[in-house]
Amino acid sequence: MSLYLSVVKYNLRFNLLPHIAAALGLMLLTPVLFGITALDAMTVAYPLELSLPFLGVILLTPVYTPEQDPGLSDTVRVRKTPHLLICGIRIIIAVVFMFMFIFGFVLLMSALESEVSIAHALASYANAVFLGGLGILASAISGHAVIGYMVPVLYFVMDLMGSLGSFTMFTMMRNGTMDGKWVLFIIGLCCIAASVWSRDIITKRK
Amino acid sequence: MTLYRKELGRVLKSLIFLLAAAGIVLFAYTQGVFPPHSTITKPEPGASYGTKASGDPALIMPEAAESLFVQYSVNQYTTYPNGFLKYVKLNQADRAKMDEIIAELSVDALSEDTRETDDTPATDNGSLQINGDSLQQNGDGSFQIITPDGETPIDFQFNTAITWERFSDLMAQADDLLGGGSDFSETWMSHRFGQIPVTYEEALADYELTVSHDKMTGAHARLFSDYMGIILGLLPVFPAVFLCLSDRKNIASMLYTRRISSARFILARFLALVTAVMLPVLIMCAVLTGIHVADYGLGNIDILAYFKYAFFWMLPTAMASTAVGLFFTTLTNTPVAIAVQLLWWFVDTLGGNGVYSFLGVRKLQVIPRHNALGKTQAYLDYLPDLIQNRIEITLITVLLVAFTVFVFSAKRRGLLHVSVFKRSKVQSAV
Repeated sequence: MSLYLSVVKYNLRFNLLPHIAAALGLMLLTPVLFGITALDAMTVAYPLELSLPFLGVILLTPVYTPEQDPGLSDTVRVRKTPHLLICGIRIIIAVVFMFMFIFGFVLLMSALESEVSIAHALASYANAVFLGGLGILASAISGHAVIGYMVPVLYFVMDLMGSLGSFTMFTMMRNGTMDGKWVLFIIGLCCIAASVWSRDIITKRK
Repeated sequence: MTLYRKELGRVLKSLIFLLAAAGIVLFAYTQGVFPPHSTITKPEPGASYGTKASGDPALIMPEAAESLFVQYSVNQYTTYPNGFLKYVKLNQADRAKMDEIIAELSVDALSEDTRETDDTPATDNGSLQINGDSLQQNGDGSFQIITPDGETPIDFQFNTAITWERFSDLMAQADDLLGGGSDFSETWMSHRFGQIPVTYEEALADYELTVSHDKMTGAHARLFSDYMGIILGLLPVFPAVFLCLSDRKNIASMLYTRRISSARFILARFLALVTAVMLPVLIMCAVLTGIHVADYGLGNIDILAYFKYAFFWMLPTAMASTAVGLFFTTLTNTPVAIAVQLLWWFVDTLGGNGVYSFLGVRKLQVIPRHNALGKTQAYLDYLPDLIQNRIEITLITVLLVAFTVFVFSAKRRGLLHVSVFKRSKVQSAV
């Protein structure tokens, strides 16, 4: 148990801190850009679907970054603690932080008289897991975090400027419904799982 | 030139370039401009040709006043202070000021008698509190507030005696109360209100201008540029960040000790990145020109139109995005440039509360818009602004590249160490 706590502590200190700072920066910027006071049930979708899902990209995509340096990956592979365990713990930390940030933000919106509910928070969280899942999978397969950032951003832009049908992230904004959020959430989880699997294969192959 | 070729080869062989190129082509396909989903046809009489701003105060004033009254009634105002939708609720003091504006705009809705009588509905410090259910539009276009307990409804009828100057002044006051960026600001009022239908004669004139001035392909190229700008305003930052971060991992120390000047190195890299991201665009331009030759005939089109727009319209956008990537990555050794460019893209693309979101250009807009096939006269009207904008964006790019050279040079000499960025340096956790 102390090993896990140690992993959490060191990850927070050396890996996750800049990303948490970036996530907080996004959360501070969102009210400036969109406004979160006294929004009705339809307009709360703007910050929740346009801005907060990027928390997933910020927190999940760089999970494998530390070991993507060739020199470090060799060192990590010979360690006794399994590398995937470390990555798993990082993913859990990222997912928990995403949950806390999004639900905290929604609580703040509620306190500011916006018409938000748990369903809105869950919908935003589903989008964040989906975008983050795309990012972490692209990062794991390509071995570069920048590609991991590009793929979800590209998806976001294409969906925003057109519409990706059943896989659109913007149902709340466009129709005022939560349709398809569960699908996105499950795809996001599958992407995260696939990223761990592909990382395992890539690590063993080297 | 050798260095440029080497950098270009490095970019072209990278996975991120292949993904970015695929993304650019896929985006063009999903937006219906590659291949083009529509052709330019002569307008038929009796059809609908869209609307345009009339600029007529007699039409603008009642519409704007009614819109303000509707928002006032529910105390929820739509504004775009940073280009993004923001709803504003006024406090008691500001509501009292808005009461006075509404009272002056209306014939009798908030006359002194109405506001000062004790039995007026839900008054508080002279303000009216009305929820959305209490508002109803009359057949004549006026609005009515339904008061509780069957009391006399309050009508809003625009005061036609008001002059345009006074009206503009009142609307400016309202915009100030709302923190700016509302539909009632001087900039937006004439775009948002007083729209009139485009006539057949006007539609025909626009078609003829498209044929004579644009030679068909010019109009298509503008629509293509409109969509390509959206993607070129964002995607080029990724290969730039990727290339700079790859240096950090593998060859930064070797690069620093080479004899080549920092300016030559950065310039070669910048040009290689821009060439690479423009390559799929230029290939699409060539293919589209071929398609239009088949559609309209070689003699009826401007064969270079797509390429003219690629260099004049799209290139500055791609250069700006690349320069942001180079500068911030060289400075920080982190992918923060992606966040910076994404923010700029967001404000640019989703920003603006009116016509500029689809047509035209505002100051320092990195992605000019022309979301229409045709509208040649509108293009010719904003062309001087567009030229100025493209020059400004190019100048920003030049500045960013110059700063990149300075930062890179300082790092080579060991002069620039920003400790806050070292925290993100890779470290083993366990």
